[in-house]
Amino acid sequence: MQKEIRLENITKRFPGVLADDHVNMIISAGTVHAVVGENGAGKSTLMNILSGLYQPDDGRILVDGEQVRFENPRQAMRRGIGMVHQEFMLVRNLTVLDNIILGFEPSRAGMISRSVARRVLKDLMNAYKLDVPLDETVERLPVSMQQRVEIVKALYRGADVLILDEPTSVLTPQESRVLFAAIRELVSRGKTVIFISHKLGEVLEVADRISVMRDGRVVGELPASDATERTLARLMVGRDVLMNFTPPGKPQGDPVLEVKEMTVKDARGLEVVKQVSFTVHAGEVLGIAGVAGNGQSELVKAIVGLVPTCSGSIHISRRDVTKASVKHRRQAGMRYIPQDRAWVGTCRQSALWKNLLMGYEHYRKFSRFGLLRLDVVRRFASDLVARFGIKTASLYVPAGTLSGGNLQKAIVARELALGPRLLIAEDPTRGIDIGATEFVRRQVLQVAEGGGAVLLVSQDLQEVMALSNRILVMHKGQIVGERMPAETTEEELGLLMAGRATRGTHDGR
Amino acid sequence: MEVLFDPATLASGIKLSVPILFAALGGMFTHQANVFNIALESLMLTSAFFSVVGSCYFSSPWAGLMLGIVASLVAALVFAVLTVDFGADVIVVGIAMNLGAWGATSILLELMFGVRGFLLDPRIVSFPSVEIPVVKSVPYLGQVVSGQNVLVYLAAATAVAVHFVSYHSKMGLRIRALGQNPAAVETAGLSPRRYRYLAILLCGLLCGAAGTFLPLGGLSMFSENMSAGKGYIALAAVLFGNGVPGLVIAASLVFGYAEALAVKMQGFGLPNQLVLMSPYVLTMLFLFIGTRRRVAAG
Repeated sequence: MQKEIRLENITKRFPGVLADDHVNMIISAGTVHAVVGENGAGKSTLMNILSGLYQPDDGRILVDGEQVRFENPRQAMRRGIGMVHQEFMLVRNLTVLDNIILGFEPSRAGMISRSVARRVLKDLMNAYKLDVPLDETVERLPVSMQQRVEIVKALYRGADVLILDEPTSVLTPQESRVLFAAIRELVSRGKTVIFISHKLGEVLEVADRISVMRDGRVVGELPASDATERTLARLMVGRDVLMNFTPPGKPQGDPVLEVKEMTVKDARGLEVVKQVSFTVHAGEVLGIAGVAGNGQSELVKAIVGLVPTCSGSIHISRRDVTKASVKHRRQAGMRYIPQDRAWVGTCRQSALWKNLLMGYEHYRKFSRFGLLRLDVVRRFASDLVARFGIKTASLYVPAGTLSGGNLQKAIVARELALGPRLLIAEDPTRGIDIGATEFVRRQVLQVAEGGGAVLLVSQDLQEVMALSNRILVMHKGQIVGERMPAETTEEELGLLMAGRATRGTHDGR
Repeated sequence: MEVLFDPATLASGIKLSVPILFAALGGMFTHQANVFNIALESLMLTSAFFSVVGSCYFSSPWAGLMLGIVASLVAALVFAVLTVDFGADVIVVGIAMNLGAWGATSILLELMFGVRGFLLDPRIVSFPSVEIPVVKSVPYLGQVVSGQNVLVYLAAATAVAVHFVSYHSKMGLRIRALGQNPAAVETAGLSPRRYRYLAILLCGLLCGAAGTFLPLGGLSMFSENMSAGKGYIALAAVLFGNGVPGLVIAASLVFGYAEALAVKMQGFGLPNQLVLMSPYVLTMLFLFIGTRRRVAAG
């Protein structure tokens, strides 16, 4: 069952993009092979080719020395290659059992034999020490368990080679540790794991060999034992990068954002933010950490004014804005970098200059008698493009044509253009490359250094630790802990994020 | 008050729920596949007309049922080709088909039988009613359940079969998975297109039976626009049931019962319009409850 995979000269073009450019890779059987690279480096495309979802324009795939061609995922599965996608391919209201057997149901005369499936799965789960609750519906499972279901599903379908696409992006550090143990177990039983990631620390921890990709090419391949985070980062970006920041000194400023006993309900009427209180001072970066879906997003929406609060109050610079519109909050000095840059942060069809002006169009500086002063606006926009290093063909292209990192820079440029008093930054560097990340983080810190207050809500724990003066941890809608970055560890925060007591518990599972 | 539980009311309620039930069970498959299918009405009307044609020419209700189902399947195929392969909007296609079926059956009625409005012809043979041996002598129950049209019993059997297909067959599981997450179906190496087609054709099959019941469930006549909105009421049952066979069946029975009650109530001096309105008011109420439930469930 051991399988060696060889990718030779794999090339894949999309309209206007060369996603993979003559990629060569050898993945030895029974190893963990990591593929790292920035977003858009071509990792996911390469893996989608290997798993049969895309067909390469050029090049060939060899499994155990034999050339293969996959027209669809089923054919790849038949050769023992299975993928665990970043966005899980699960049907939320079906049971775990039904999800696993979907498409490969043991059956008699078209009718499913669930008892047979159950027996097969019990054996499989015992063999790989991967337990999943077969009769639970998927939507009731935590994300880490859903991921395990995906892995069991791939094994059930006969995968000898498992491709894990950014598997830790949805996990706490502890859950990642558990996953790594599971990966080790799989490899010890002869399976091969391909591990896609851009988190260098964990790659070094789990991988045997590492391929680094940049701009659709493999720029380096080395054993994990020879690699360091620094060398990998340099290969990925093509230059040295600075990832260590020092948060601004102790905050001594006035309170800028005061949230008192705020409760927010979602569309179903459930309390997703419960009695949350905190204050952000001038010159301070307050970080909020938590696993996605624990109320952070609703908290941010309520502070920004996108959803109503149920009870409690919000003050910006001592002004009560609990019931104020987004516009009034912005007038009070609030700025917002939303998590969803494509749909919330920008209007993709509109020209870049319009996107840079949005929210300021009524300023007297930019309009007169209800008409825009185009010359002033244009100067303002081109000034921002230059100051923030936004790479664009012109001011007039639709914002949606910019790359993710540049679109994010444009949002940051707009929000920081006129010196914000309060910045709400929600996952400000999600899915952008290291270079842009470094830039955005520096800008966020500069707001605090310039006397502004920053509320940073991020799923990236390292980001929260690197930028914040103070960290609050959210779990199930509540603040479950406050820590100083210098006095805590990722492990401790991870436990808080998982809703567990911080000391005295050691849980291996 | 006693009219509410009068065995005659209940028996007629069961009978009136049959076309709704068949169509709603069909609509349930398309709903599960996440195809918003308002074309139930046109499938029913098409099959109603062609079942009359079949019954007339072959002097057999079974031939009528066959031809009705074939006609409904053809109409469903048109719906599938337009929406699945050509990517046309399901609502637009649905409205076009509903209006088109009304027009087409009216024209065909005139061309084939030389009459307008309705067709009363001795050659049209309905399905017979049958007594159930032991049950018929049970007091009350016998009056309600026994002596119904053959298609009523066929509907009951179909309801059970649909439940099994939905939950215990490979096809059923795949259709349900498709509606929730097409990507999950695709990465399992299955063709979403194929299961979308299957769901729509299953709907065609069951709407064929629904349409056949209208002329051949005892009336032995066809009238213009005979489906008269029953397809929409079935759609309401589908939406209320939200893909769960048991709930779809229950809603269909309630709608049929309301209709039977409305007919009975006409004799009680209540304003006629108010009484005739009641099944539709009930339908709206059910939709309201169904939607609330779904919102609450996220």
